[in-house]
Amino acid sequence: MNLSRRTILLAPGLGYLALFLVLPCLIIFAYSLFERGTYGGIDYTLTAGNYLRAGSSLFARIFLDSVRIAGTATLVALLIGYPAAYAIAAAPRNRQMALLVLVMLPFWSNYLIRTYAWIVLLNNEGLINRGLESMGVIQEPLPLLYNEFAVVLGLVYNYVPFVILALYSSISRLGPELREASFDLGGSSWTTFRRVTLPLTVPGIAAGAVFVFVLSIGNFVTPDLLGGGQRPMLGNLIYSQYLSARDWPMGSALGFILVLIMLALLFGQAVFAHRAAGEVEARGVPAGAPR
Amino acid sequence: MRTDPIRLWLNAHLGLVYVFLYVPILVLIVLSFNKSGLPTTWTGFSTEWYGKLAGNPKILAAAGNSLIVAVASTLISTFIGTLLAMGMEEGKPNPYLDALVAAPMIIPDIVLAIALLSFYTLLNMSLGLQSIVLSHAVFNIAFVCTVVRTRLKNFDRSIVEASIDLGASEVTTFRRVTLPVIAPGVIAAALLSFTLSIDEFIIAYFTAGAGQGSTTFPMQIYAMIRFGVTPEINAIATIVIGFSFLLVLLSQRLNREAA
Amino acid sequence: MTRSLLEIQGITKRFGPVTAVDKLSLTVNDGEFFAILGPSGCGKTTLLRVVAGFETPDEGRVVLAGADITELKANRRPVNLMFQSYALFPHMSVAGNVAYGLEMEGVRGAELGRRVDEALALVRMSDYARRKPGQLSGGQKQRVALARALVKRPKVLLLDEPLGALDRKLREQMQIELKKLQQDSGIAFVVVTHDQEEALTLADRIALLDRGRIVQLDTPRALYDRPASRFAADFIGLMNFVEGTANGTGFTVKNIGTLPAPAGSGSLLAIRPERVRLSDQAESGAIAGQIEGAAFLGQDVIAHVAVPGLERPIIARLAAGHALAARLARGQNVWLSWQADQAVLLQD
Repeated sequence: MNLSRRTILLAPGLGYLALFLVLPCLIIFAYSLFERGTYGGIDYTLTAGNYLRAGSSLFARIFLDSVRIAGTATLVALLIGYPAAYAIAAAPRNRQMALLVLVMLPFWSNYLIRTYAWIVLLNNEGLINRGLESMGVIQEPLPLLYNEFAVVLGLVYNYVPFVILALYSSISRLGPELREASFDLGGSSWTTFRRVTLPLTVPGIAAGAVFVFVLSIGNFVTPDLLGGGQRPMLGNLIYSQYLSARDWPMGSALGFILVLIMLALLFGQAVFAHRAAGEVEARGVPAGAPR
Repeated sequence: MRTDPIRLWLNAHLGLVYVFLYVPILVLIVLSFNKSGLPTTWTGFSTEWYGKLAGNPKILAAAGNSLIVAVASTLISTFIGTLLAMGMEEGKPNPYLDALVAAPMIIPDIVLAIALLSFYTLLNMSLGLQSIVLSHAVFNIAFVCTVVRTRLKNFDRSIVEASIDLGASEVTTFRRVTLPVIAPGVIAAALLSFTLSIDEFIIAYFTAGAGQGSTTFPMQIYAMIRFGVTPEINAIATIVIGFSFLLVLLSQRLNREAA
Repeated sequence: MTRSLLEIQGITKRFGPVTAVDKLSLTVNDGEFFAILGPSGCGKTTLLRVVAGFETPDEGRVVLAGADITELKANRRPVNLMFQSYALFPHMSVAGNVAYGLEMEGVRGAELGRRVDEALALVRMSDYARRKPGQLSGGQKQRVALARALVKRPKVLLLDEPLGALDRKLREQMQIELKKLQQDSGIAFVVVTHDQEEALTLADRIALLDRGRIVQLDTPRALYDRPASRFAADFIGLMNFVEGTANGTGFTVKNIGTLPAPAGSGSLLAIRPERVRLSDQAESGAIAGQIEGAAFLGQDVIAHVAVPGLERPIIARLAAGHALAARLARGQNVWLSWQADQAVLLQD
């Protein structure tokens, strides 16, 4: 009786996801193993050529660029996000929710518009350059836009709220008792942070880092608008293979590689979090301890 | 008052983060009211750029399209996602189901975009607003399901049994007990789904097809940004920001009421 | 003359490999306050849910007032359940909660209002009719849950750990109210609890459960004074156990001698701490021991007495006013004794 009821509830959702998520993903996986047709279609001849080409120097350079840019953005977001999350977690309890909402609020406005705001600020006739020129600090406009700096800045700006959110939940879950115990045992603020807080929030750091990295490396809009095509990333490459070069098999192979990178990172993070949770438990804090 | 230098530094840092987050947005809002339209010279307060927007049929059409897409995909995904959440909460935890529902939320947009385009092309489906709706429902179902599930987790299942114990049928119980109790969660999920859909760009861009008629609002904004910095975008930005902040505050309120 | 109302006949309920309830039978009489007592996992809640209709038994029948209700759905049974969490509908007012079950019976209008008012008055919650459950204290929620179930005038009211969520002081107060409510309404109450004190104070009869079976079914008095097994003796109250052999007139313990015991057989002697007499003077027939520790509990003093030859100390409970109570000191020599008929002989 319960089984059939459950089946009725699950069927539409699972059916939808099977049809519009699993099947399409299987299709591009299949495409990635075929050759490109002469006029942009699919030539149904099995080949590993797309994956081999992904390793060629042209693609490899974009891969490395993507990893470097996404990695830099991740690092910067963590360095900015950790102290901010810590400050929120240390704020009076009744103010924490408001501070968090304030962090997440910009995220809810349109991504394109948030990115566009930086074009207004960074371009040669933009607010920053004109401002500095009028103050006489610079004669020539600084090259702020259409380079790697702008891409990293855009990524950090868009994803730092997530990092703060992930780190906040990790830090605030610790509660003040552990820190106070460390102080009580004679640890200084710095020792307490290094030996108690930081190790226990590593799972939160990992979650936030994987999040920023995955979203950055597959990003299309930021490298396109702020990088001006100077620094294409994996997302832009897939875009151009599909819509410009009309090489769908190659685009599919690159997409599949992107998914693999993402899965590997998520899996690593899950294993890591699992181990950290076990360690925390062994130290006497139940893994699911509320706040 | 005790002055802790570390606490002071932390708070100063947090303050700077807020400056970093809000200055770009505030700049757009201020510029949207600048008569000159130039980012660098303030020539007086004006709402003429908003007037220009109202007279731009392309922007209005795009906004209309986005509204259609967001409402339709929200309706589909709220219905299907809520059922899915209920089904998942009723049975034993299943990691494969969890992974399947998490997948649309973490898969890179560009991958979902090419996968759906390939799928529709293979089916020879005509592309347009309908294909965008179907595509947006994929990730929206996942988000709705997740939001409703957290509400269901806090839901005391014994009230369902209490209702039956007091003589109600299963249908009456759903109508009079389950639905009213989870309603704030379902509405919050619908708002989230609407926001995500109305903001989504890349998947819509891939699955909209070639026709001009299916340009969504973000696609229109993208085209305008590519064309160059224009004061009209500032006005659009201000409207979009105001609208999304309103939605967030509304869903925050719902969440608090439900808790 | 008592009349049987609810008959549970050979109920078995399995969950996979686990048998939660094992061929269990019992009868609840009309107007009775019946308690099902046992440790967690003994099957008592499963049994309650079988009677309420939320679990279908694998074997056996449930008969209510002569009618077999085994196949009847939960929403058709003239039986109501008060949930452990109270399960009040959070979106309805107190009055709305109480009215819900009546509306399901088709009661409408003035009749509905009158009966809701009556039920709320019965639990002294009339002033809170328009509040939402979230605005009530634990004790108030419990009263609303009671009113919601009682307003349906069920033949049997089932209560799942009714006082479990309340703090100690409120619990004692609610025990008395619950008992009074049961007597006034004349409805048979079946309470499931793991709290022996609750069962002893509330119930007319108690079924003690262990691993899905009834260990003993008796009045509270009999269960306390005459436990039939080590499990029953141990589960209810504090009990001293001494191993040895009954010899017809006493109880022989190796290295100690003969202890007072009733006539009968058995390899285990059980004696309640409050039945143990403590003296600081040597007495003939008393067992010599040394005070190991004493704790003041308000009305009583609990003394642990180490007896050479016994593995565990004998516990004695003295009234705080007892002459000896104030001067118990660690290491002090004392003598223990009891009346033969106040000890119980057990088998295992």
